[in-house]
Amino acid sequence: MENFGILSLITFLPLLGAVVVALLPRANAPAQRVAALVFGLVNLGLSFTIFNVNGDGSMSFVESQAWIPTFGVSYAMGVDGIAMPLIILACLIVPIVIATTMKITDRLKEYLVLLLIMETGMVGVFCATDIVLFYIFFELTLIPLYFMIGMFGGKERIYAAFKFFLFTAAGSLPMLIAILYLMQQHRLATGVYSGAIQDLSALTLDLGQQLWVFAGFALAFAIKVPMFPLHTWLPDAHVQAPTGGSIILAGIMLKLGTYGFLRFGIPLLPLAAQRFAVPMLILSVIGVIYGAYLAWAQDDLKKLVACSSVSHMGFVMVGVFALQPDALRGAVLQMLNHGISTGALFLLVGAIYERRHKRGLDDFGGLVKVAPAMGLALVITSLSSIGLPGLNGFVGELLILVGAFQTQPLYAALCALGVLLGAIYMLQMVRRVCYGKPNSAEAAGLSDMTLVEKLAFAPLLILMFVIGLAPGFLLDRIGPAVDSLLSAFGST
Amino acid sequence: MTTQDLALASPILLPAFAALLVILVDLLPGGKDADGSFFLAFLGALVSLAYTVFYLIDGRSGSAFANTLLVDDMALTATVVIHFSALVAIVLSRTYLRARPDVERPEYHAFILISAAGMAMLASANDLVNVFLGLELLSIPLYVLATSQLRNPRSVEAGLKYLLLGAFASSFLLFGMGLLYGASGTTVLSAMPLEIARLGTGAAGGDTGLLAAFGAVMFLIGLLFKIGAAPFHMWTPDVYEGSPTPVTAFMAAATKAAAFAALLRAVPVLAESLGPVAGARLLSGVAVLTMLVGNLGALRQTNLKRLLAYSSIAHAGYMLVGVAAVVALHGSSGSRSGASAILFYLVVYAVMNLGAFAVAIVLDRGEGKEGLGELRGLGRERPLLAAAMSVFALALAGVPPTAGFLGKLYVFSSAVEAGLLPLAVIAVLMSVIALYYYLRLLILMYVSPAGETAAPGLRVDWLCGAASLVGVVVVLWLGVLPGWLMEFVESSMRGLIR
Repeated sequence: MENFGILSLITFLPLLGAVVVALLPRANAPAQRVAALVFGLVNLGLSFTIFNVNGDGSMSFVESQAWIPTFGVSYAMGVDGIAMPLIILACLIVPIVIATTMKITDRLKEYLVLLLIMETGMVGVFCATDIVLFYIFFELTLIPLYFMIGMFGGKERIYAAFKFFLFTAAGSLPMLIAILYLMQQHRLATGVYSGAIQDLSALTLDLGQQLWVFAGFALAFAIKVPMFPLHTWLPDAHVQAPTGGSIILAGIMLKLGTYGFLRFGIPLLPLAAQRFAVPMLILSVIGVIYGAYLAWAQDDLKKLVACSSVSHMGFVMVGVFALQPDALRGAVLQMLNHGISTGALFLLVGAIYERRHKRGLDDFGGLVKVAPAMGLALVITSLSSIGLPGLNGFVGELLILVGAFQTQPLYAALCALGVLLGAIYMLQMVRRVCYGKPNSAEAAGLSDMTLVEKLAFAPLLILMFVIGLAPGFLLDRIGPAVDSLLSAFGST
Repeated sequence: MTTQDLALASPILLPAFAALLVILVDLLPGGKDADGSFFLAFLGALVSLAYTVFYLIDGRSGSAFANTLLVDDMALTATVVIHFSALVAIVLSRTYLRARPDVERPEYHAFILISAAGMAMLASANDLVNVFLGLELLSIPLYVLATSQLRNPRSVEAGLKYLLLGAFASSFLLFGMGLLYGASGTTVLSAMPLEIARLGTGAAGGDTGLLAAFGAVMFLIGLLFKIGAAPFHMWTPDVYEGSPTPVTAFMAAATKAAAFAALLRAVPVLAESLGPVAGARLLSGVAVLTMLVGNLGALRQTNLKRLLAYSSIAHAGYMLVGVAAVVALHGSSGSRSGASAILFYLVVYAVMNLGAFAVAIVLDRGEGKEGLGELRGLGRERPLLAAAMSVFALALAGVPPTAGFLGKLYVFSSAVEAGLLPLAVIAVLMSVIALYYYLRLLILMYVSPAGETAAPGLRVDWLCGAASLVGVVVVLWLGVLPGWLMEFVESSMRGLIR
């Protein structure tokens, strides 16, 4: 056990990058962009070194350092097969977001600084194995994204940023109480405070206590996911956010919710997780179907993708609360898949919007003929999002459904309905945007993807195929971590 | 009186001495020099602060003047906060007063120092007489300071309001002291609980217990008034708005430090007179009311100083949560964590609050511009100042990784530890409300479109800039590495609570 190591490096290197970018002259936009990109890419390269996590599901690359001894809070970090893919995804998404800033001229420096600070928060939150450290990183991701939406968003950005911040912050404060309560219980049981997850999971709380603590956590995470009926901030935030903000929101931020359930809900509060499983499944299934239904009704590309997020994340939640090994594997993989597919969708929608300043489904048409690369990219990404066999979405959805059928057949069946609805709204979107004839002269003159856009899209495209065709390399690492989670129930 | 006594009292005497020096120099022929009085006062506050810090680190504590002053680590820590606030207030005044020649500088500076001496006295008072003396010594200069802009009706209103209500509160305090003396036969605070228990005039004494209980409540009211706790907060917004901004900053941070130190010292008396359960219940009620009034009141404000005034009420409420926890756990070592939490919070609050006021003084531009609208577009015009204000606002809101978050965490966890879970939940809910109005500041600074700047070409005075920079550094430093301060306040409470 070392004091500091690779996890601290990939967490705080972006912060250093933020300082460097902040010190560059304001007028020199390309230098700022290049500096941010270099830090983003170096961090991505470094993040690959954590790929080989321990095969037994325990925490790897562990770091621990007493931090606030008065509270027993330690600077404790570690990754397992659940956190690892998300960390790499976060590191991958940052350079992609930097590529979307080519058209930003006003306050580019602020944008890049916020982005790099956010990367520190996003990587740190998945690395933290101390509950207070987790909370701090959890909140740290919030402020930069708030600014990003508020400063660089669309017309209604103030309202959207405000709603986003209030919803998520209001959720995280009850979690703070739950954290304090857990630490207090640890003190009562052992005489000392501790925030380390493994210490807290050794506590034996009775069902009543667990239910309350779980409720505190669940509120914070359910808002983040977002679960029905706490999802209303998401479409606003997504639609108003700049492209990069949407990609980060969909790619990483929403995963904080599901990750929180996996990291804290299940191992610390197994009794409550079982008790709450059915209500959570009901809300998740409502989210799946309602989100899909909302997406179907949208005439705006970005809103459609935002609503589809609600549906897809509901799917992940079904996988989590089926509390079954296969479904959980699927849930973790689907968190990743949703980040890739929806991130890619927002990237494409952003690129299209940049060209036309319109995103209505009927403003385009014939995209595959007008701009073949863009059209094809949109078609493939949509198919990946639907879960076409051979692409990434299929593997995750299949695992979730197969797993959930074994423990919760009813909800699995209803969930499968969501897959059908997903195919409907996505395909009708593809039909209206990509096929047919261009609806106007502008639509016919749409320029194709630039080299930068292609480069930004390429890694996501590759991942869609690789995970779709050979998911084993990830599932081998996710599996043991999931199994060790489920060991909280005693028997699996 | 021995030299030992004088040495122990020196953190109190030094600023008083400096104040006398400021006035004396002013009387000398040719001494009417605004700059001279500033430098003298600055030096006086700096020496007081440095000396107190040295004293604290050196571990020199003890009781002086026949146990009527208890200069322990807790008192010294509070005194450091007080002298630090005085120093910052004097620095900020230089900018603030530049465009206000009608304010008499020497008196102004001397009164800040005298007030600081009174606060230091209150923080270490172990005798009812010294409590009263300290309280009056801190208040009377503040009454005058509030009115120092004689041609500004708001300033006069502020001073008069503060004086009238302050005198009223003092009479409550005196009444309470009389009753407590009657119930215990002693004026020494540390001896009082035992005497009350022996005479059976406290909560444990049945019907005769009402004497000490009434005394304790009256005494409490006197202190709660100074803290600005509801329902004794009515003066706060008007006085904070009408007073010169540096004085407001000083009042908010330093008075709280002194009064909370006195409150902590009086906890055994309160617990013995009211009983830990009833005492905690009473203080919880006051805390909830204070948080409600502060946070709900702040929501509607359009004046930056008034907003900070309500926010200061809210923060007094958070700290009272800690006091309730201390009273609830009185007699056990667990109450130490609550007391330490309050001390930690006092330090953090002083820094973030003074920082926010420093930015307010820059925005004021010597023209009395105090509207929230002055923040509009600051993020474009002065990115560094806006960043500093964001740090202070987020710290006041209690968002990590600032020290404000850890202060709240500390206080609320002490409430959880004392079994006051509902109180902690309410405090957290109040923090959610608080987010709304602190965020509004950030929105004003950053979200307005280009060209809509309220203060184009704003000049940032280097003194205010330096004060903000120090504030930002401390708030973030304590937010990331709070361990040493937490351990320090824990150990400083060890003398007080065993």
